[in-house]
Amino acid sequence: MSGLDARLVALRDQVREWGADFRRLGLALDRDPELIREHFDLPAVRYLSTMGIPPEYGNVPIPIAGNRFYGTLALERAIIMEELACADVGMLVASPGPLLAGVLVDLLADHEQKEWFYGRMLAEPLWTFFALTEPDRGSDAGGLTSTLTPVDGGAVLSGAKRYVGNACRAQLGVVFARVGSGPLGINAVLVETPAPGFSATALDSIGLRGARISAVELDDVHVPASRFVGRHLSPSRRGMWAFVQTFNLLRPGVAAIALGIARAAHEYVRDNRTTLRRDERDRLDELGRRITAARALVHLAARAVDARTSDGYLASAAKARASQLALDATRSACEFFGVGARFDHPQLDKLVRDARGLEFIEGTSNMQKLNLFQGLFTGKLDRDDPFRVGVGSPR
Amino acid sequence: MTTSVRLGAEALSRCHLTARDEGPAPALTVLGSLVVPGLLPAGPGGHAVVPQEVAASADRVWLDGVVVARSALDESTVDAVDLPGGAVVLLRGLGTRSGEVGSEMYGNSVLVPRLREADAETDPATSDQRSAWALGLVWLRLGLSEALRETCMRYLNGRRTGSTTLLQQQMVKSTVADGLIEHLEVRAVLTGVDAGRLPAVIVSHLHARITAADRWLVNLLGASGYLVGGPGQVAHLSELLAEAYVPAPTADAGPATDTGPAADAGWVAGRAADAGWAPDDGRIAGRAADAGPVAGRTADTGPPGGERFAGGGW
Ligand SMILES: Cc1cc2nc3c(=O)[nH]c(=O)nc-3n(C[C@H](O)[C@H](O)[C@H](O)COP(=O)(O)OP(=O)(O)OC[C@H]3O[C@@H](n4cnc5c(N)ncnc54)[C@H](O)[C@@H]3O)c2cc1C
Repeated sequence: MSGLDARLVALRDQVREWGADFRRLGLALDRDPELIREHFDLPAVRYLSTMGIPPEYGNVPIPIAGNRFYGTLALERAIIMEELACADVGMLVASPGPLLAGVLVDLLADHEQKEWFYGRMLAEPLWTFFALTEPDRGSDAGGLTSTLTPVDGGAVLSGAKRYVGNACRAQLGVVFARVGSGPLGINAVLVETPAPGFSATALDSIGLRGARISAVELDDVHVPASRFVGRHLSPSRRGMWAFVQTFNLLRPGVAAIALGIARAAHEYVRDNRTTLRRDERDRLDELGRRITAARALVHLAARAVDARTSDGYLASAAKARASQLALDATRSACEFFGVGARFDHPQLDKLVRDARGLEFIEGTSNMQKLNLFQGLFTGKLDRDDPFRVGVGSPR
Repeated sequence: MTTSVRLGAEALSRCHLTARDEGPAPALTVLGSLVVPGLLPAGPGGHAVVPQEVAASADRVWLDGVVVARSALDESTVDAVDLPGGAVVLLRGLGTRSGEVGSEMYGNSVLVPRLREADAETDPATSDQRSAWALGLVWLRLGLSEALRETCMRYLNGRRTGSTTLLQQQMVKSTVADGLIEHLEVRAVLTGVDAGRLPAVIVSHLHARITAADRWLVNLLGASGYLVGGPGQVAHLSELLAEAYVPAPTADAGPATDTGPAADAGWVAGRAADAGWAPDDGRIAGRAADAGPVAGRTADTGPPGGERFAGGGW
């Protein structure tokens, strides 16, 4: 099991406390995702609005038990995401902040780009977006077809993106597009909105409504050369490699969100069914054990990518496991409340709807399983010491 | 008292095909007009999923077997969803405080109507009607799930990865097959069965398998299946249909299901033998070789008998 040290336990406990606001507002936000605009002053929203910005760029997050957590580590993010998703995942994904785009910037942007991006994020809470998926290309992201055509001083960006979280209200984002053919021909660019040629429309989704997933149209959007992320790197470090590494870093956080949803379902039963029959108690306990076990995997997967960004195989295992667990937990929670549970318990209904979305974010279970298999097949996942903690000395 | 309703093969087939070809609202209209004409059908907990026109016009509620006046006082709309085939409304609190119906607390907050238990036991027509509704609903949901399978195939065939389509990926084929296996098994169990002949636990099991199929399949639509108004939401609604009308067998010691179809009088009172099901050990005598609902046997002819499914782990 991945025991957390006292520092991280303090982080977890603090974020858990902040989560109470999210829990309180979750159902209302589900009905009106724009409600988040009225809650930028909540401690959790404030924290998320700069989470992931390194200290050298001026981030001074509120101290927690004498420590500052910048959210630059996957393990820290996993802890934060689980707590906030358990409180309310809609509020979490609705909150402004660098989130996915920030991870890419941290990994790939040059100093000047970071100063610009982080500077804007520190000045005020801004939404960001991360536009990779296209209407015709989702899982096969490498086959994306949006284009960056060179023009004087930069390029023009054309194409379409779909299911992009928060794009309809974001002020900043990254867009992946093609400068040439093949895996090296992909580049991410920083885009500011509004911009001529850029439009984003919210899509009405079944769950995770706080995420405001959007359809994006890119019609000759001008991108200055200075906005090509990682322009100081070789094309091989900017293309496919860039988004594989980025996703490796993000994945434990997505797994942790799924875990948080599963835990919320478990807690809902615990809190609302005060007396349980023996068989019900057994079922609930079993669910609790599955959540604890999945957390161990998520945390070790996070430590693995923190140690080495290319080690994302465990994170694939964690994400596939946790997203399935979220589905199972939310649905089995309903069974504790008899016929019509989801009509009578809006919180449970929301958990079921939210859990469904976790299958897709950051790649479906099939894609995670294929990636995991690849790790095993190529020997990159060490059979004897998969977590690289030293054989025979599990932490 | 209720008029006796038995759904023959042709009626069941209509529910099935309307669901598959036209969507949930038209299929619910068909099922409603066959089993509970003019009434608003609600499940044992007072929940309902009905076409908008029914929600707007019905003034009496069929509460899992008992007809009560509709009271705007306690009823509330949980959601109204626009879907292919027409809008559907989700309601709760139907008949819960009506003078005819007692209620009790369950799971801290849910009101469960009680009265109809006694009624259903004494009135075979009511029991038939409940069975007809339950069986029709299985066929209806099966139709929706089969349509989902076809939508998935079309979607996946239209999407490319590398030089081939998503449909040609082996993992994808396997998932389509998983869904299909569920459909085939449900259909095998239904084949030749007439209303009133399936024990409630089996009906509930079939609903659970259809839900499982939907869950396999809906993931194949990717994020497009997560959008409101599309096939993913039809699957979502189908799950809520089961949620409203079919008590889960796993909760059977709770008060909600004590009174539910699991204790269906018609079944317990000795339809077992002529229906070909053995309620005591949960095994079923097979009639898997029978054709679909169109060619289905009527209840009175009974099963060919004899042969049993192995396992019986319902
Ligand atoms: C709530 C939410 C938020 C999102 N946020 C973002 C965002 O911020 N930015 C962004 O760019 N995208 C975002 N997405 C999109 C998400 O990344 C995609 O949905 C996901 O990558 C899957 O792509 P798709 O939906 O096109 O499914 P498809 O690729 O069409 O997949 C359909 C089915 O085929 C399977 N499949 C596909 N290829 C294979 C294969 N080779 N082998 C086996 N099976 C395969 C899949 O597992 C799936 O079951 C979001 C989605 C959701 C639901």
